[in-house]
Amino acid sequence: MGKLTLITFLPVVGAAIIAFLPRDNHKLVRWTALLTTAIVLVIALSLYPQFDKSMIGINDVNSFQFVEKASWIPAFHINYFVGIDGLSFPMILLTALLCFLCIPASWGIKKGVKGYHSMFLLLETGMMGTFVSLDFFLFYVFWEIMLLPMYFLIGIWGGPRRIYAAIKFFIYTLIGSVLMLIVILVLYFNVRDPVTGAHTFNMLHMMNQANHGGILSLSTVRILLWFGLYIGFAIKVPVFPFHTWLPDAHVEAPTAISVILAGVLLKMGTYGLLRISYPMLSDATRTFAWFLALMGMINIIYGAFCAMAQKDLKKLVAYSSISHMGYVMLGMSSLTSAGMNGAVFQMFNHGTITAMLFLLVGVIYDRAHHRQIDGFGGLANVMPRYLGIFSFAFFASLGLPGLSGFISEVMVFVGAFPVWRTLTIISIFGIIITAAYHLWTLQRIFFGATNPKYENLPDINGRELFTLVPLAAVVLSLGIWPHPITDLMNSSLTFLGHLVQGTLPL
Amino acid sequence: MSPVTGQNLAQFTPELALAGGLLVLLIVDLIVRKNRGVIAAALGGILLVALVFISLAGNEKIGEYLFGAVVQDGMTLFFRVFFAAATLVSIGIMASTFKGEGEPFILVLSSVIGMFLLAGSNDLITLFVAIEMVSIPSYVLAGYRRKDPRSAEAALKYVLYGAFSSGLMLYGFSLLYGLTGETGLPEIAEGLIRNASGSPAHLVGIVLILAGVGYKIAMVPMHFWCPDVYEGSPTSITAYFSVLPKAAGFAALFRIVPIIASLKPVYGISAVGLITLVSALTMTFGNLGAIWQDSVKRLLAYSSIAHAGYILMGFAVIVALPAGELHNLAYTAVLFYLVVYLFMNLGAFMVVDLVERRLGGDSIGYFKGLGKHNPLPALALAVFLFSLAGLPPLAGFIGKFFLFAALVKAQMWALAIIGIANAVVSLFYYVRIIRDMFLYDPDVVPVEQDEGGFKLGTLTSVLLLVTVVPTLLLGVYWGPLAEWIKLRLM
Repeated sequence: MGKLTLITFLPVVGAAIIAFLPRDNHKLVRWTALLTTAIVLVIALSLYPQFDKSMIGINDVNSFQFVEKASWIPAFHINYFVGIDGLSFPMILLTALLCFLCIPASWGIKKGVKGYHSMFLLLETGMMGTFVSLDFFLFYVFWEIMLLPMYFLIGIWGGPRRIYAAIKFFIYTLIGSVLMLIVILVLYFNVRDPVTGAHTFNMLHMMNQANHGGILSLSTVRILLWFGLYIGFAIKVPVFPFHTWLPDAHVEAPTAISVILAGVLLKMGTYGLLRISYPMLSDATRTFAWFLALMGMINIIYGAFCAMAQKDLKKLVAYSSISHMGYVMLGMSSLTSAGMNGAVFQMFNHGTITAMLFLLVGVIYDRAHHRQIDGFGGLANVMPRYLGIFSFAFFASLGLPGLSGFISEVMVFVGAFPVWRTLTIISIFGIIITAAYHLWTLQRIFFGATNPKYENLPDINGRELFTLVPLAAVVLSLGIWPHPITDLMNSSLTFLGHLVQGTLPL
Repeated sequence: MSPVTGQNLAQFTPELALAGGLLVLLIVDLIVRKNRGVIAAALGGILLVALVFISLAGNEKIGEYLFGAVVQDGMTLFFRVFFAAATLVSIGIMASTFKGEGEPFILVLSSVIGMFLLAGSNDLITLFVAIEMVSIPSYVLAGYRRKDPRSAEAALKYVLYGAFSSGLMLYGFSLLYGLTGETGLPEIAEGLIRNASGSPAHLVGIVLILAGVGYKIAMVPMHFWCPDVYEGSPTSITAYFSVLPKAAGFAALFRIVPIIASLKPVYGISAVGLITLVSALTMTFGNLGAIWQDSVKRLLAYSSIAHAGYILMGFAVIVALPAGELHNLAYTAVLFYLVVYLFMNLGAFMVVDLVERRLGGDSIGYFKGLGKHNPLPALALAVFLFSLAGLPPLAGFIGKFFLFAALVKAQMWALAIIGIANAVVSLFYYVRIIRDMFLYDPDVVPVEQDEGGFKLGTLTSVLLLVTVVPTLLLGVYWGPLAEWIKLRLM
């Protein structure tokens, strides 16, 4: 059994074990979950030294790594086909890391501990599976597997309006995936396996335009398909105007689930665009790259303005995610090497930084039981260590040089500027708004007169620091030396940019 | 076209075995006094298991019998196995409700004889007789709780609508006979293509037959009886209604495909257009109706209307393309969907029956918090509902996947999009039950609460496994079943 199969299905094995543990032994359940995610993380990290950074992947099966292929449903030419390249590997690392850290962050969950951890591990299987799949049918199954645990995790363990938020999340995402299903079927029936001549779900065959036939030769059909996929993925990112589920879901979700939602699930949208829309419908992507750039700009500015207007700290972080995902869209729309690399690096960095932010919101919420930004004041004197790590995360989020977010944002702007000049200039103003709301929030929570109600709040504890410090270390080290991650993806993404532009060196 | 001989009678082994077994059951029911239901269910169960094997053994005998009135082919075989297996699960569910009464089981089995005959009908008369043989015991079953006014109402509605639709269907039959002078189904199709295709009488005949058969499958606009009958009948019998007579209706529909497909457009109305229209109406009406229901039984009744609409989508492809690879794909899709539907729908009704018997009602309030005080049945129901909604990795998704695959391949975009929109709408009401089960606290707490939930009997546990396992398994590994169905169509 290959390592990718292990990291995909170990969590579900852990979930099954948890289902048979005694109901009242919370400690045993938590440690089982922690052990499972730890093993997954170790396996994911062990891929790192073996990963050949010069191999491209994308549309060539020979340069994918750790490939496993087995026939699943021969009648429909569906395979269990997994493998990773420079686009998926950083996402695998991110997922494994965040899932591991989220288990201690869920230590505070008191009700339905067994159910919570089983669902969480099932979710991890769905996420890993989506990132490693190279068969479109398999991809879709994993994509949908993420949906159910998330629904229950928000709906059962969430805040007061959890039921509304869970349903909204569910319906939005489902509409997107149903659209994707139609596109998958159209692709299936109009793409032929070059060897056997049969229909195929193999994503790599779908990427080769020479295999396209039937109605795929009509440009209107290709544009419709592209938009079908776009809506499916845009809901997940979420891109304006499909973003309204996100603030609701985040506000109601428990801390660890917000971390996964913002840290990994949002990346599914941009990952899907890069993995599927870009190479499979590259002509439509090229035609509508301006549209992606425009939506990216709207996300950046709109998200930042919305964040500034929030009174609830968690909602602010949620809107800041919308804004930050806009950078990803802008970067990838440029199709330049710097822009594409910046986009995926930004996906990784946003994952770590926003995870810190949500964990920090969780810390204060566990103590004060509310998240009103104006309800605090003067916490700097009460919780000095909290202030330290909080400002670190906030500065990372606003893009302070020396921290990882800065590098990816610069890469995005450098890549996008020559291609989309006006849109990039407008987007850069987003940075100013971002800095403004971050600093303003920091000021309102930590400085000024101390709220007498919160004079005796305990400072951040060891368990909470255990979840935050690894992330902070990653953010800081990548801010100084980004190569461990950027080198992974460079060859794949540069190639993908050329592939879409049609400027491949032969 | 050989006359009845001993060799020909051998083709009726399943029907003869069923009839013989039924007589034995009747006599046993007269003799024993206690646990008549349990004994009848057990005997019936043994009989049905034997029937599955007898039907499977009939594989090789392909051909027409009894002057062409009955045909034995892969489709006959598929439906015989399907009916036997589905009835087996159904009487298992009924055994918990009717411990002391043997009659319901006898009625169900006599209805199954009709279904077996229907599976092989190749003649207007056989077809009509078979349909009536399926229907008449069902009327009695619906009204089995004589003293419950709702049950009586259900039976009366069922009979009246049934008689009306039989009349329509007969009139349709007479028109086709008049046009061609034949009663054999293949001969009628040939005759229609030769002589009368495109005449108004042809169209009227087909519309009337569709109405008659549509009554059995609760196809809009012949669906009005369905929610009331399902709600009024005892729940375990509703489970049976929701799968078997409906599947029988589809079996009848398959037999008349060549006749429907022979219709050339009249006044701009084509056969495909007709089926597309009723399919779209059926699923849309079913799903919109289900949203507003408070009784879960009624909700599932509307949901079963919607599922008939989904199956009709595949049927539209079958009619549009009378032969070829795509025709077979659509056939496989429809038959596969029926199998999946059998497991998930019977399973869902079984849990509803369980809740109704233990907590006293089937309105959605009784399901609130079920996940907290009875996690196992709640989890099973969640699996069934998610599967009915068509979410991967469950069997219902694969069923829908097949159907949509056929539609996309046939490039019937409008129907595909209506179907997809319906699937999304349906999710809303299925998830509502799941939400109530897991996210809310209970309104009604069971009086006799055992540790960890209701004490599930051995039979209920086995039946839950028998329905849950295929619902999960066919979602990830459906290849062999799809292949088996495909081979039956060769």
